[in-house]
Parts: sequence; C-alpha cells; structure tokens
Amino acid sequence: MLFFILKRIAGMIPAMLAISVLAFTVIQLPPGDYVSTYAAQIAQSGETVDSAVLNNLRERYGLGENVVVQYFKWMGGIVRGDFGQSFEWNQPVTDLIWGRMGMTALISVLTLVLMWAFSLPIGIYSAARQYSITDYLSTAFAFLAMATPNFLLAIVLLYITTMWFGVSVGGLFSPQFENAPWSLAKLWDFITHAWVPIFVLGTAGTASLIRIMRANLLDELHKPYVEAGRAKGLPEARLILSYPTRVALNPFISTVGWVLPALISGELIVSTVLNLPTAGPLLLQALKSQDMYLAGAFILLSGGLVLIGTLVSDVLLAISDPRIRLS
Amino acid sequence: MKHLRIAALAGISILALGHAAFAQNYSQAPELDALVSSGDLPAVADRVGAEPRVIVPVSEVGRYGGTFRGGMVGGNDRNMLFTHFGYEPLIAWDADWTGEVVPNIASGYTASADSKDFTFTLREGMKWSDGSPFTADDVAFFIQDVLPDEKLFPTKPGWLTVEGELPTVSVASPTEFTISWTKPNGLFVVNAASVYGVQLALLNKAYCSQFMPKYNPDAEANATAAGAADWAEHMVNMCGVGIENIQRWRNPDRPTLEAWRITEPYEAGATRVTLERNPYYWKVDTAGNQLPYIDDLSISVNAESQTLLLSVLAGEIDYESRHTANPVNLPVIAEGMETGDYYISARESRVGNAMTISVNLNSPDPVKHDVFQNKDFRVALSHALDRQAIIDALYLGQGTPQQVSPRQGTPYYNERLATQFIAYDVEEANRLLDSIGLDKRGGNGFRLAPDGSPLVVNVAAVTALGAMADAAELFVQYWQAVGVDARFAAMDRTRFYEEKTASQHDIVVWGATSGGIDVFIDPRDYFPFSTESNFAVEWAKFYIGDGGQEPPDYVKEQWSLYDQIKATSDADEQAALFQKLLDIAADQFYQIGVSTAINGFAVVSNNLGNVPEGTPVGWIHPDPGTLSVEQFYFKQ
Repeated sequence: MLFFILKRIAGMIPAMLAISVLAFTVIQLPPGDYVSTYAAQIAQSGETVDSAVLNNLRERYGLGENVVVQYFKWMGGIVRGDFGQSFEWNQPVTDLIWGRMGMTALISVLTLVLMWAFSLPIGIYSAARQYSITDYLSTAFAFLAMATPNFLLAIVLLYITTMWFGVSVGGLFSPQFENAPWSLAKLWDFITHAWVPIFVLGTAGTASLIRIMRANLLDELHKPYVEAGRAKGLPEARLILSYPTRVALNPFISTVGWVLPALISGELIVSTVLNLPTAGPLLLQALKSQDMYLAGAFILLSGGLVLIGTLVSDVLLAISDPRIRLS
Repeated sequence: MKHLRIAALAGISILALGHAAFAQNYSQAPELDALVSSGDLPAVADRVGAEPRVIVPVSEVGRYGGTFRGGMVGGNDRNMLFTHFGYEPLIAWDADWTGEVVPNIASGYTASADSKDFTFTLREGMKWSDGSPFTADDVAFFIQDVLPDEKLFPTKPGWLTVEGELPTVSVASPTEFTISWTKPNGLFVVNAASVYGVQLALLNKAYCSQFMPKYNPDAEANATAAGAADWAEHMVNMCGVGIENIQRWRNPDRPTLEAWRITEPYEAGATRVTLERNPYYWKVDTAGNQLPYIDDLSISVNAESQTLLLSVLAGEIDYESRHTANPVNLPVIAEGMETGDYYISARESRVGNAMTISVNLNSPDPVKHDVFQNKDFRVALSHALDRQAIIDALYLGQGTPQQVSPRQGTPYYNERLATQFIAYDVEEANRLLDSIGLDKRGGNGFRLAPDGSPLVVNVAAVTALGAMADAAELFVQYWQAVGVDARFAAMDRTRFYEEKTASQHDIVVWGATSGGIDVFIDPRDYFPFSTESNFAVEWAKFYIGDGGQEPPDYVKEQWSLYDQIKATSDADEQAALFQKLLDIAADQFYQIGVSTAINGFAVVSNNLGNVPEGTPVGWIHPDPGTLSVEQFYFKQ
C-alpha cells in the first residue's frame, strides 16, 4: 500500500513541472506586461502616469528579461518557498495565496461532501425503485441541474435576491465578521452565507453523481448474486446496501479525481460572480492585470489541488478494492 | 459664461478666516466623550488646535454617527481611497473648481513676485492623528530627506522639479516655512492645490524618520527583521511615502492628517477596508462641531465592478461615482432608485471633449506617414463626420459638436480650435482628399495612396470601453463613405496601449483629458507633451528625453511657450501664452474631436446629507474628495 502511494506521488512530480511550464506560458501569451496593463488601467480612470515611472517599474520587476530566465528565476524561488512578488498588491505572493486557497479548498471540500451526502442515497433509492414517481422526479431534477451552467445559476440567484428582496447574497461573511477572528458567531455567519456558493457549485455535480450511482447500481441489481441473496431471504435493504452498492461504489469513488478539478475551476467563475473571498476573484484580477507571479502561483496551486484530488481518489479506491492495490 | 477666477495664479496670498468666533465652544462626537472624561484623550479644544479650518456645510450642520459604506474594485484601487478620503493638500481647490485656491492644512501662503519662493503659514496647535504636533519640520522632512532619496523617489514628481532641480526648504518657525527654487515655478500653486499637492504634508517626521538610517542607526536591521529587502522598502511599507502608493493605506500606526485613519488595512487579499474617526482632526463646522460627522468607513473590496453595481442596486453603498457610474449602467441604476433608496447626483465633466480621434503623425509606414502628416487629410476626416447624428446616437443628444479644445467659459477657450472644420460636408471632404493625391481608386472602390498602393487605415479603440468602440465603428462608416478604407480594430486595453506607446497605430479613439485650469498640468491634447499625446508619441518622447524623433519647429515653439508659462505666475500672462500655444495647435489641427464633454453622475444614498450637486470632477480635482467628505452626514 505504502509503495503504491509513493509511486503515485512520484508520478505527480513531472505532472507538477508540466503544469508550471504551462502556467507560465499561458501567462506570457497575452500582449504587453503588467506595466503596460497598469498604464492602460490608470489612464482609463483619468489618472496620469509618468513614462519615467513606468520604465522604473519595468526595471524593478525584471519584466524586460528573457522569458526562460524569468521562468527559472520563478521556479528557483518556489523551490525555496518564495512565490515572488505580486506587482499589483506590492506584497509577497505567499502573503496573498494561502488564505484564499484555503477558502477555495474549504468550499470545494464542503461542496464535495454535501454532493456525496445527497447523491448517494438519492441514487440508490432511485435505482432500487426504478420507474417510480421518486425516480422520475430525481431524474427530471438531475437532467435540469446538469444542463444549467453554475455561473448562470449564481447570476439568477443574485438577480432574484437583489431585485426582489433587496439584499445581495455575495460574499462569505457579513461586513462585521469579514475581518474578525474565527468565533462561534462567525462560524454561524459563514454557514448562513456559504450555502449559496455550495448550492450553486454542487447542484450540477450532485445531479451527475445521482445519475452515475443509479446507473452503476442498476447494472448490479439484476446479477445472479443479488437474486441468490434475495432467495436466501436477506432483508431487501440490507441486501442492496451490503452487496451491489459496495460494488457500484467503485466508479463513484473514482469520480473524486474529476469532481475536485471541476469544482475548483467552477469555483473560480462562481466566486467571481458571488464575490467570494476565495482564490477565484484574485486569480481573475491577476490575469487581467497580468500580475504574473500571483496568477502563476494560483494556477500552480490549483493544479496541485487537482493532483491531490486524484491521489485521494486513487488511495480510496485502493482501500475499497483490493484488486487495484494488488495489481 | 462665468470666467475662472484664478487668484491663486496671480501670486496673491490668501489668509485664514477669523477663528476667534468659535474658539471657545467646540463640541465632539459622542463616541469620544468617554475617552476624554477617562483622560485617554485631551479635550476637544486642545485637539483641534487654536485655529482649526472652519468648513461651511453644504446644506446644514450635520449630526454625528454612522458608518459610511463604499466599494473598491480589485487589488490596485488605492486611488479610490485617495480620491475619497485622502485629498488633504496644504492649499485646496474649492468644490466648484473656479480656479480659486482655499486654505486647507496651511492657513495661508504668499508667492514671491518671481515665483521662486512660496511661503506657507500653518495652523497653530494642529495635530497628527496620534496627537503629535504637525509643524513645518514635517514638510521640511519630506523635501530635504525623502524627496531627494534615490531609493524612495527613483523618479521625481515633475511638478516639484524645475529643469531637474529639486526645491529647497527653509523653516522660519514651527508654523512657517518657505519652499524655493533658483528658477521660477509658475505652476507650483496650481499643482500644490491638486491631488499631487497632498504629497507635501503626507509624512510625519517623528514616525517616518525612524525608518531612515540617517535618523536611526538600526533602520537597516529593523527592515531585515521585518522581512523587507532594505530600509527603503520597509519605510514605504510602514509610511506609504508616495501619495499613490498602496502602502499608504496599510499601516494603522502611521499618523495622518486625514479625517479618518485606517483600521483594517488594504492588503493581501483584503475583502473589506475600514477606517475610523481621527480624533485630532483639525476641521470644525460653523457651529463648532469637530468634523468628521461620520464615525467609521467600511469599504468593500469587490472582485468585479459588476458585483459592486449589485451592491449599489441593493442600497448597500452610500456613495459611488468611480466604478459603476457610467452611461451603460444608467438605465439599471435609474430603475433601482426606489428599492435601493438612493438618488442620482449629476457631476460635471471638465475635459476638452467627449473623445479624441488621433491620427498618428509619427506613423512608421512611410506612405501613411506622408498622408497622415498632411493637414488636409485630417480636415477631410473631420468634415466627413456628422457630429450631431453621432451625439444623438451615442449620448442621447447631450453635448454640442466641438473639436478638442479647452472649455468655453474658461480663459483658455480658443474659438478657432474649438469650432474649425466642424461642419458635416461630404463634398468638401471628397474635394480635399482628391486634392492631396488620394484621387485614384482601387478595385474595391476605396482611395489608393499616392504611390498607387492600397491605403488601409486602422481605427483602434478599446472594446472594454463601450462608448469609444461604438464611436469608432460609426467613424469608420463615415470615412468609408468618403472613400477612405477605414477599418475598425477592436482591441484589448493592454494591446491598445502597447501599440500606441510604440507609435504603431494609424488612428486611435481615446478620451480627452484637460479642459479647465488643469490644461497647465496635463496639456497632452494640445501639443506633444507625454506618451499620452496619441497624435505624436515619438515627438513627445523626444520632449521627455526618452528617445523619439525630433519634431518640426512649430512643436518646439509650443514647448518653449509652455516653458514660459511655467516660468511666470501671472495668470493673465499664462492664459495669453497658452492662447498662443493653442493657435499653433489650431494651425496644425492635431486631433479631431466630436462633442463637448458628457457629464457624469454619482449614486448617493438618500440618507447621506450635505452632498452638493453638479460639481466638477477630474483626476486632479477628485470626486468626492473636493466636496469635503468630512461634512457628509447620515440623516438617520
């Protein structure tokens, strides 16, 4: 088992390097650099800027250097835990990312857990009672939810609450808790706010997991061993939960590998719409202003989270299914 | 039209109003009462000093209390804080921007007749937000120690240098100092009253000098301990140093002269920035109440201007004129007035035109270079535009057809520059184009260049700025109608900037800048002045000593006229010199304009009192900073 995990981790290193090259290339693709974007931005709000100041900034940030040199400098820093400087915030990137990535991870994991909590029982029930009213209802919900892009759901929700109820649901905390240390009151405030992004993010995923669970279980339900169990007089609930469900769980667990990346990338868009204090809005802003080290750090860490998600799903699979860990 | 009163420029001194009338009876915010009675805070009369500035409230004497809610967008929106709460220069513009300068931190000033020496008088007993006295030494510290330092100010602010020379300062008493140059600095007062002037009294010597090795032998070691690269970086982090540095809004311990001091800083991914009342603020209202009225400020940091717009619509923002107040949002903002409990307050834009069309006189393409430099080509393009139709389509009929020119009613208005070649005259446009060798047509029906090659003219505008791109598309159609193969190039903001800064563009559509007294500070639209002079970026680079190309003599004459303006402080003479400069601009017809400036607006909560209406806005006369935000108050 340990060897299995180590092998997986070893495989993550080249993947991570590839992500870093890709991230850096993508950031370099748009025309111009941070300084020209900055100049365009402030000119737009009517502010004036001295071209001597701009040249000075470019020199200070080392933007004139060769791209390959810039990359290796960047990577060299990261190995030592230094993600570089955020041009826009004028602060080390490390100060910025951890809190935000933490929030992103928290929201993503909470959403994942809730997705499972809902989709698993509904999927099982829906398969066991195939073609019943509940099955039709859950199927109808699943198709609708899967077809709705989650950012659209966020916008509609925002519109309804703002226009009809006169409150905006954005953010994760009320103003008075935003900068306060964690407390019970703040936790409750978080819960009252967090359901919106979790609902928005989780709906489509829950729907697809319901479908997956239902299909997997349906494949198993008609196999002879189920018939045999039933013939031996096992109670129906115990029969389904103990045998076919366990087999059907396999594909379900491996979904972690792709649900987590989907959640994180979905989260980037949704959190911008909902104005959440997670990585999404900062990453978008960093990309727009070509704040390259900040954007690079976010892309790199998001990539890292995806790799970790895959690892977790591999490990879970290996635990639940001896065939995988032994082969 | 009312002419600008420019007393400030004439070297006339201004003096503070009598203060004795209020000296005995000051009152303070209720939240400070307990602190005073417990002895944590001196009495209000001691805090405001012997001669506080008396602010006449816009409508009525307000009441204390409340939290002001505002919004920023993104990580580099520090100038939102600056334009709202950070405009505290020594001397200030009045809210109506008549050109009059009023006392602010300084109670008065005198300028020498030759504009080389400027003597300021400070207020007796005025204090920083930590209770330490504000004196002439604080200003002297900036001029003597901070400004000349290469690490703190690698590029010196242009308005503080005269031909590269930095000012000297002499302190006569704690309340009197003189700033001097060996050569005249005729625009010093104009600049000192603008946003730039805030720089002079930004730094508290007692606090900020501890970060300089000159004053503190441990400065370098302290910087290393704090994780900064060197003492200068540490000092910028702790003290802000520059008016536009984001670090200015970071350190709650930094003493300030502003009405509110920072409590939750604008840093590393902050989602909300908060400020609290400065108990030592040195302004009172006409009833002797110490300002500000509003207790706290709570500014959300939004991911997108659209999320801020939602907050505005939900009535969660008390004042917004920076990010969401553009014509595109006007319908939805107007619709939400009742549910959001706000109103729309007009703001007057004082720029020289609604937009500028700049034909690149320094085009690197030799064929285009010759065509674009021909004035008749630009005149033809101007005549080809039906300005009234464009104004009706884009601005709902607001605005009058006009070329890029200082505004009517100012001493800088030049009628010829403003009104020449403004008629919609397709025939004349065609005649002019035929006469300059563009009479041959290609297979597609468009005019060929004099050498017979196709003449494609790209008209670039930034898509994110809706109105500019819409306008550019209209212009292209009008120019195609007179046979010019104009093509609209929608561009991303950064690429647009890269291209025009490298002078690779043909024609760009962008905003105009100055149209009132600010023409002296940023005359980019009237001669090649900075790389923002889109019609001749290479000539402008030559001017600022950044390579470029040497321009013809008429440009050099404009530069020499501008030097003469800077060398005098006689307002009439400056205006006369500027008229000469504009005559050359009119002769050359550098840029094509469309309409007089289109007015803006601010969204203001119905609960917010003392907010004036129809005030002028601009970067150097920021909104709402010039409206005395400290006298805004909540009615309930």
